[in-house]
Amino acid sequence: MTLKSDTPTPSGAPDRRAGTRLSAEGLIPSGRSLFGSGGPQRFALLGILAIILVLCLVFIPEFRSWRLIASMINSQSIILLLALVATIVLRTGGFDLSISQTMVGSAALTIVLVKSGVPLAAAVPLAVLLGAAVGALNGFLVVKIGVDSFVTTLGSYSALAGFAYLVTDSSIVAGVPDELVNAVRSEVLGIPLVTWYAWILALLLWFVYQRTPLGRYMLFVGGNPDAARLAGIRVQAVRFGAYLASGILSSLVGLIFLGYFGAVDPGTGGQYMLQPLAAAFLGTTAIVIGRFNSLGTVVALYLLIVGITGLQVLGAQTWVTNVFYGLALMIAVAASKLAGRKKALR
Amino acid sequence: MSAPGTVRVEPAAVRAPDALRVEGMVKSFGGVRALRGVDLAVRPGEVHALLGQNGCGKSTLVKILTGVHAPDEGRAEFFGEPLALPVSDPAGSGIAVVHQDIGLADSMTVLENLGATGGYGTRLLAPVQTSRQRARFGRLMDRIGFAVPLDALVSELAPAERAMVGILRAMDRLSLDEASAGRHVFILDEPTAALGREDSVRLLELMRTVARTGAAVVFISHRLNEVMAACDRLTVLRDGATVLTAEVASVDRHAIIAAMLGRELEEFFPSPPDDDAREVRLRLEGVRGEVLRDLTLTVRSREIVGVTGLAGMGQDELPQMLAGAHRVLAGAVEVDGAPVVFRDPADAIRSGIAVVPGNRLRDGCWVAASAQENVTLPVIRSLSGRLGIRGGAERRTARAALERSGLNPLEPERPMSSFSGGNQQKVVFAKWLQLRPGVLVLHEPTQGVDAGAAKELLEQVVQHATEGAAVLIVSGDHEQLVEVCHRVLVIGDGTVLADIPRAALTEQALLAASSLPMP
Repeated sequence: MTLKSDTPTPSGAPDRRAGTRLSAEGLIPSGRSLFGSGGPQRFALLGILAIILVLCLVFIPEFRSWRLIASMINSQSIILLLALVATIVLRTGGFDLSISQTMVGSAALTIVLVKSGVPLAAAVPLAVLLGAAVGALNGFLVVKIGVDSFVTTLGSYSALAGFAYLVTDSSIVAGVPDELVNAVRSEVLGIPLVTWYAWILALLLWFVYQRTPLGRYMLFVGGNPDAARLAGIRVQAVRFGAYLASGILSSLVGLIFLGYFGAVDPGTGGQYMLQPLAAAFLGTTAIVIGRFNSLGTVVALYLLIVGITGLQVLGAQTWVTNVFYGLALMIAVAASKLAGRKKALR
Repeated sequence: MSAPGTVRVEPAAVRAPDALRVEGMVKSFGGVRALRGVDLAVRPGEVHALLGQNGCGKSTLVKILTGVHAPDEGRAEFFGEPLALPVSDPAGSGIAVVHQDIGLADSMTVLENLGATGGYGTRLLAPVQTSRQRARFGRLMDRIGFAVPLDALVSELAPAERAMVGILRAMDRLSLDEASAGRHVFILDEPTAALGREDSVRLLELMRTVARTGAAVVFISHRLNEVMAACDRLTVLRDGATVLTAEVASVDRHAIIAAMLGRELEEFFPSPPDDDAREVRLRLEGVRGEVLRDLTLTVRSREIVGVTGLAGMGQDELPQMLAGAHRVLAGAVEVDGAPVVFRDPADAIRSGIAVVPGNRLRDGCWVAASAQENVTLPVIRSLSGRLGIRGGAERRTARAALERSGLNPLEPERPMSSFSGGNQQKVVFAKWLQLRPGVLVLHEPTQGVDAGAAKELLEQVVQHATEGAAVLIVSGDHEQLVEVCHRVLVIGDGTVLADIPRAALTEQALLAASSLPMP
């Protein structure tokens, strides 16, 4: 054959239905699977992170302290953990907004049980059971009944927020057992365990997403469930499993949260809602472009933290965090939309 | 050169300035020359077919004429007057395109759909002037002698009526006033690709009616039969250049295909089924579904059986059922003598049935994934070890399967969305044929695929049958069924109306059998 451009036909344009739904598949411009392929733009976000970091180090003297950098990273490990958990359901084409309240609800349940004399070893499984129950309920409503995932998990988000107030009697509960605190705050190689947990989860999810059939199935379930089903994938099981895993992991993050702060404020869940989603969405613009992936999420979150910390050191107020994350979410989604549109043209 | 006699071909109108004249059009994207010199002359009152394989430059040309792209070189005339390029005001230029996907809101009425683009009124918040719109569209429909109920929901319309709404909307957008009556060029981009036979015929009639008003119609299609039946002249593009312009009456289909491909195409027919002793691989006994009432059929090893019928007679349900996606309400399905119970599509795959679905973009693939990922999806587990998916094994598997199905260029890492329709279908074929299914079911296998790629795909089907599989092709493309099938079952009213053997297999026979009165 001669050298002929393979012009895409109208039928070659990305699935139009995806754009009408507020979910993961609408954001996916194109896909490359493994590290070996894709353009340099996969590392653009990493490059921006490096540039911002260098700029901060050069122009902000306070930045040149290991303690600041360490606390910057460690203080955001809970958000990183939640952001990684968020990618699970996002990857299958849905939303799980309830993860932050599942975290707080599980933490609240654990501390209240411990306070009332239940041994920690018995309280932990109960907290995980709560997460599993939330995940199963979300999964049941979304997958079996067909309720929109955004609505379902917004509902469980609100219910769990109430649950946290109920069990704590609307007060801050402190007095976390030392073993739990140590399991989260002890340092290995100078880095607290909470940060290690986040990194380990990132690597684990990386393996699942990029290297296993399950990760591939999740991707196709999120991208085109009809085609996935006809290829023999048990779409409903994959989607239900994603909500279940999301719930269980969120409650485990709740235990880490408990050990990290040593207390539970029942009203704190709201602060953790948007930031993980922003990091997860921004993460689709890095490492594996167009797909929810764990290392991209890590890069995205660190980019956001460095940016915010820099602004705060320069004197910005705390509200800057909210503005920054909100804008980052919108920019991330807009960027992936634009990338998709560019692909569709020509 | 036998055209079904349902559509009347009229001679082109008297020689006036061409409605649309394109000369020496050149356009490059980056280093790739999409157009190398396209000439096109469309006369007023004629239906002019624009033909060529995917990637030949048709869509680029259309995009230039509608102002999406600016040409590098070339000029154009519209009814004798120079057309300023790039086209800055597509609606004012008098050229309108009706795309294959018309883009109508199903849950709204025809009038609401027309109003949505024709403009409900002058002000955003002013009350919608329904009566005035009704009158306006009524006049338009009178003019072209075609009626569509303005108050019907779009979801209730037949496909041809939907196309009609698309054309009405295009006419309305061109602000058809009496002064400019007929000074229009309509470009219909594969309007019949998704239509059944009788709807296609209606649409072709509609095209002729529009042309009769003095407008010119450019008809883009992969279906040569329709071109022969409904067009006055044709232009073939190949590799971005015009290679043939002719009166339809003066060329035969082989010349057209040769022009499209740039080479002669040998006919192929499958070797006839030699004996009846070959084992039955697929048996359906009294199968009932939503539309199918009572379907009984058998397909033997090495046999290619076609299934066709008028739209909505239930034949389209069959592939869905055999894929395990639609419930079999009653009756039995057996593969190689073993009964198959379909709970979900995995059961179908396990029993040795592979279905190439009719809706490629919805059911066949995910466009944002690479060709490789789409191909290996059903087999990815077998390509995984303890350390997860074995990258090398996946690449080799995908490459081999895609090479066999003739993906060109053979770049498995490219996203599906960057491939043409023909190449996408080759990926879908590769995905299913690598399973070496004992029963291969194809639903409209060459829909939206250019003639060259269609030929390659059908060659694979024949090859696969030769290797012992039972093949079932469910299609409304009679030309194709006659070409490759050993026999064709005609479905009507949910059951088999006729079983036409090879010896009696002609398009006319299929048409006649399809239109039998309902029992």
